[in-house]
Amino acid sequence: MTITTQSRPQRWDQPFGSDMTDGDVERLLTIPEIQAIEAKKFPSRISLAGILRNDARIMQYKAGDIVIREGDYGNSAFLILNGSLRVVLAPGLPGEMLGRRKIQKKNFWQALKQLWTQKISPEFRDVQRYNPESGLREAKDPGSAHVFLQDIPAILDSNKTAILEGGALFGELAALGRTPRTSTIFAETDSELLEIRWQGLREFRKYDQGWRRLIDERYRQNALKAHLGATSIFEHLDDSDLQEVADHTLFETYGTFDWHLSYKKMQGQDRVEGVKDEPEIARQGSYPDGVLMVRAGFARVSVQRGNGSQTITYLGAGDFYGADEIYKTWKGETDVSLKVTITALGYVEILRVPTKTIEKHLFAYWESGRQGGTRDGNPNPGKRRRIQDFFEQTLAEGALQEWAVQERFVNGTQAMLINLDRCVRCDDCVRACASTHDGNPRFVRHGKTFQNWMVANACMHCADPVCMIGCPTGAIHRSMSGGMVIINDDTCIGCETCANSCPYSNIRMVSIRDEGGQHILDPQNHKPIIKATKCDLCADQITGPACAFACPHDALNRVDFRDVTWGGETGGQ
Amino acid sequence: MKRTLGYAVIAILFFALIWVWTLEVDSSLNYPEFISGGALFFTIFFLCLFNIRKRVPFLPLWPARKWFLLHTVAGFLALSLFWLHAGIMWPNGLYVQILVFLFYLTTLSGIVGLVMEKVYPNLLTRIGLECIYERIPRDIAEIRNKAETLVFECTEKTGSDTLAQHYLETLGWFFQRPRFFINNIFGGQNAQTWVMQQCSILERFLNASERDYLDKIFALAEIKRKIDFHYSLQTMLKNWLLIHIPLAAAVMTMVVWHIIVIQVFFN
Amino acid sequence: MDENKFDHGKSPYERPNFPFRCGRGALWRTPCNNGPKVDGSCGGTRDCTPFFKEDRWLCRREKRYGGPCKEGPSPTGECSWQRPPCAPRKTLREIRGQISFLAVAAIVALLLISQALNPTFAGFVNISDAGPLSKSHKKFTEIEGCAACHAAYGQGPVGWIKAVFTPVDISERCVNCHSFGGPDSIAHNNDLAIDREVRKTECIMCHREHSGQKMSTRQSTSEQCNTCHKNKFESFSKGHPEFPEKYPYFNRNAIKFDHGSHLKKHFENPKFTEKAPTSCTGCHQVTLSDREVRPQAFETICVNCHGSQITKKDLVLIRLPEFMQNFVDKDALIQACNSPAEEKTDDEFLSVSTEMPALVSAFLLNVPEDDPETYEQPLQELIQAMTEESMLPIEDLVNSQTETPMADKLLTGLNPEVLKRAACSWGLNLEYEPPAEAKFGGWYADMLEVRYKPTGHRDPVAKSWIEFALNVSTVQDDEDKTTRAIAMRDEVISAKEGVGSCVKCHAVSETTLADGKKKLEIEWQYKEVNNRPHSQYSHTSHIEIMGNKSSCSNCHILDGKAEYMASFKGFDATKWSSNFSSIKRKTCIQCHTESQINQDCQSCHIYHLNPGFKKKMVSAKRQMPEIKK
Repeated sequence: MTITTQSRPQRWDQPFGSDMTDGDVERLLTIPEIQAIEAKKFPSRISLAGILRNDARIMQYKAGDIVIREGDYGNSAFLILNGSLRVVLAPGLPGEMLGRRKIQKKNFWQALKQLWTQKISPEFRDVQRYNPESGLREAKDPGSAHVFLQDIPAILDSNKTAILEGGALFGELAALGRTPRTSTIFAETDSELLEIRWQGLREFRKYDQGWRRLIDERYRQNALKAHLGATSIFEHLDDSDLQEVADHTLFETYGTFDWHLSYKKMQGQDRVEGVKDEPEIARQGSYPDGVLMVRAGFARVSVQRGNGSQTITYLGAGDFYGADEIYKTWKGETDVSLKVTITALGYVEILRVPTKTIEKHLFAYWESGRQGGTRDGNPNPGKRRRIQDFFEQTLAEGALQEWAVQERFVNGTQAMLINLDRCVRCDDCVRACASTHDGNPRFVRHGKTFQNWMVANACMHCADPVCMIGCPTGAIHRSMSGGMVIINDDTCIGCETCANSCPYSNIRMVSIRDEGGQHILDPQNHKPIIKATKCDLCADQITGPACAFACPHDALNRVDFRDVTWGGETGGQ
Repeated sequence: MKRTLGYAVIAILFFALIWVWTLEVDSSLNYPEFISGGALFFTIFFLCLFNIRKRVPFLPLWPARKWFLLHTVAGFLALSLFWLHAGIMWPNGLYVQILVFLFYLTTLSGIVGLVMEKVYPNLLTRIGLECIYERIPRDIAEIRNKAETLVFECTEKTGSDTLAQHYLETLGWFFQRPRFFINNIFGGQNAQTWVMQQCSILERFLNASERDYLDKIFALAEIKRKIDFHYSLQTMLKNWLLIHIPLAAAVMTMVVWHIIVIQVFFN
Repeated sequence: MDENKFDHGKSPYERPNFPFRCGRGALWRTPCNNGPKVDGSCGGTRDCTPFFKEDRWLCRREKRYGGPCKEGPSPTGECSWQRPPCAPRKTLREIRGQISFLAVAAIVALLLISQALNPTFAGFVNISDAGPLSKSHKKFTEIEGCAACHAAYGQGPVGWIKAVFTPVDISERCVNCHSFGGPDSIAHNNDLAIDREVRKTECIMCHREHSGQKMSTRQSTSEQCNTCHKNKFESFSKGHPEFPEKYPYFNRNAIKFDHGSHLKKHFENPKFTEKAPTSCTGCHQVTLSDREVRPQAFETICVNCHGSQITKKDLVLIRLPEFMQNFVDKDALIQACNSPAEEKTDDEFLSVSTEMPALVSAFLLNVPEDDPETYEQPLQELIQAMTEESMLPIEDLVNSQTETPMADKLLTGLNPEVLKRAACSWGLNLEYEPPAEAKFGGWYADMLEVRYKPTGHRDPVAKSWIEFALNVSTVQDDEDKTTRAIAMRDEVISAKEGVGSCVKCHAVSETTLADGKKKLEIEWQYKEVNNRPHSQYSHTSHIEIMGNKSSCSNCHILDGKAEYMASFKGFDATKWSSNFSSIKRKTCIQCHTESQINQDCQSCHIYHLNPGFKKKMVSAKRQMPEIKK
């Protein structure tokens, strides 16, 4: 294999908006929210103007255009330059209105109907279905296409909404915290918005006190308190105590938001290495200064072993670490240090609750004896094991887990794990998949292998669904009901953003065909119309994932790697 | 394993029930053939249902893994029930002889298939490479193209056609299409030995730069060998059904006729 | 190879459900990117369909196959990557489906052909052949084929459908030929009153066909008997009821042979030792004997000692008794006897005889034998008649006694001349003097009597007289005559004095006739026991196993206390005690028990009652039996 060389990609190689002009930047610098920023605090290589030029873009929305959708993942925040927008308050707009697929389980008869309704012709689509009036506002750049709402007065009538006016900032929490958007916002009038991608936002927060205060306060107010209250170690606290913890909690992000892009690139170059490449969150042997809680993303937990480091487990959203060590110190033990190294896998958002706060709010509670059990690890001791449990495991026992961490398969909640020692390569899974998807398979029965395990190229329905970032129409979304990531074929415009984002190559673009098997072409340029496809976990099937249901040899399972222990015991589904 | 055992126990109990019932019926001078025959038909019908089940994976009719276990267990059950039904290993009468011959063949092919399905996956995993059966032609063609490109390049760069000659005379045969099929399905090492030998006998005729090319071709041959292995075993894993299923269909047809005849002449 | 082969741009979905695969790939050449079309034709003759836009042809090759090609479309808009079409192949699954279809079609065709063929063509290859028939059935079905038994055979689809819904009893066909001693669809062919509902039996319950030349009956087990029989038990040794008290000596022997006295007394007697048999087989014929072990014939075994005794006992037909007066018409007598005229003497009549008349003649004439005044006239008239017609009057007398005239048997060999002469002598009140002694048996007259001397064993006249005596003793209306008949009978069947001493050995038994009347019979023949048609016993096989010599006494044990001869005093054959102790079940169990010799019901019991064949079966020539029904 010849090694191709390429200069390390530089920041701003690819500006966010391709048509930002100097005039635009000049104009932006005059608006009050930007004006308030002390430009000289920024280092010269990351100037404020540079950020505005490269990490931001000005977007025009027509009345009715949806700016962000509830449940979407986004990597950008919006500053309203002019116009007025509406936030749809709970219960929110129905999914169909947002361009999402309506999921309804088939009944027995409908399921059986698939026997004769499925087509031999691959990727057949009835083009009649793609209603041109479906509310898709096309743009020159497919990434900027919008879905718009048809009848604004009716929506305002039937939904509770709040108005957002010029100067308002929104979407920053989802952008920085990698959490789904909490509500839908659409333009009530034609509006102009400044969209700032997460890198720019991070710089603003880092170098400008005003923005930091703004962002952090909003975060503490809107999200953090609720989040903390939902964790096992703080669930006993009352409102004011919780507020105090929230006020003292530091939040940090590690790794890059777009880790999947660089990861894929590095994977392609065989340069994914492991612990030493990853941003370090805590180091083995150092003094604990607080409890680390993962709010989003994944963190690798490893220990030094021989000349390398052994990954023993990983932390996901909701997991925390360090309470035990601090507790021991608090009880008077000396020389207590962290037993593990924690590094960021991709992008991690960490909440660091300082020692003092922990001592005050947690240990006192532990001492009262009301809850002595759960300490480190995770909120569900019954289901998952604690970090301590992993110290004992042999290299062999941990190998699969370590591999899964290395390959980032831990991200998946429904990874397709095939036991090759049982698999007879009969392709029943693929055929079952095809017959539940109109004759089209939605995964490829190959993938990375480790010993006798294969993680096939089927959507893993990631906890951190990077594919959803940047979908212009919200066609790819997480189902509110089942939690699976699905693509609405009707609103997919074939921009390939999701397919390119998926670090596991589990989204495939297909060119759609008519009944005779002819490709359906764009009349403008005769390019085939393509659509993103992937496993939808058989969301509308009665049987659950047809692949696992159809495997005669019990070789294929859909698993969450947290539940996988050594020896092939899979607790999937 | 536990589940298999569970199903086996159920099958044995079912068989015992039928057996006791036939004895009971036999001693009351009724016709135990109807009992054992009914049970046998039920079992064979159930065996055939497995194929139907595979065509409707979207119906919530138990996961396929249960079906497979039941199919396996029911296969052996059918054989036992057949012996109970016929009372002898080889019946009289041309029609039933054909039927039983086909039934035995179906059972035998099923057992062979079962053994292959239990043994081959391990062998395939051990080879350390995975490939999709449908892509093997493409993979082999790709390897062959690479190998031939290397041979051309070698001739061009070194000016010697020793490697090219050897490729034309000997190695090319190997890259043509999957080879050593029979040896592979018995898990043999002939392909490996052959590749090693054919490369090593050439070695002393080559200079250092030619050897580099030979090494590359050897590496390709090794991949090709593994793909061949996959081809052989996966072909077997697919083709045994080519025998099993048509036989089963024939058996089922004959069974239906058998039952019709019995109903007409002996009801 | 390529690590990135998983990449979404390079690895499209594999579609194992698609029915075709690339023909190039099948030849191990690089398959094209497009693959076969839905209709199975090659879809890969060119890489793209160029698009004409703004005076230019643009390449439209998909990105994943390398994007627009270097060469670009030709000026006429042709793709520059063109190749001849391949011949796409069907996938394995398609082929499998076709083979399955063919397999089913082949079977169906085979069945249809075999149905369409003439049923009589069956001899050649008959796919519907359910298996070879047993040897005995093979022959008679040769002509008719399957229809001989199966009604639905050759009836066409309609007949078949009818047959499915109408119960067929194949047994009806069986009894076209087979016959039984009773109704054929009742258990054991036995019409005995059954105390509960028993279902109709069918032949095929036990008899199975199409199982090869040898087997025609399915394994019958004791359990099957238990199905109907109320008294259920496990096996012979476990639970079989005890044999009847007298088993197996239910009936009085026909021959009064006292095994006790013979074995213990006579055979031990030094006088007879030489003649005496040394073992049971000396008298009993064991070879080829099943249930019955017959003794050998009188002439073989008894005659040694008892041979001379028969001829010593005569029958007295007529005896000249003492008369008080003479009623004989002398003139007529003289004329009849052709004797010289005698002078008339008016002397007091003095009877030459002082005897009583023979009981036979007393019976025939129905006169008291002890009252001369009553009997003298009829008797003298008889003598008078005899002088004239010799045996005719006796013949008439004899014939009038029974419904069927018996004189021809009773009087066989009676010489009329002798009779006449004797009568002539007696008419003259003289003794008859025979010219010589009747040494060798037969009828003869001597002094006052006409006698019959048996010639030996099986003498027909002696036998007839015993039968006659027995016969007439039970049928008289007249009380006196009955008394006389009985007196005559008792004389005839007297063991010591009776003619030939037949009854010394032959038993006389009373039997009841169909009309309720009783009848006496003498048992001339050794009597086979045939009132147990459902059981069997083979002496031969038992003796084979146990040895020839002393094996009989293993089961047949002499009962010293038994009053054997006393049993024969009366005529009631049922009241008797055998010489031997009855055989008990435990005797059999010694061998017939678990782990030794089989003890199936079928070893001793026979299911059918007198199985046989119908006459037409036996007489049938090569013609098809007409089957109606």
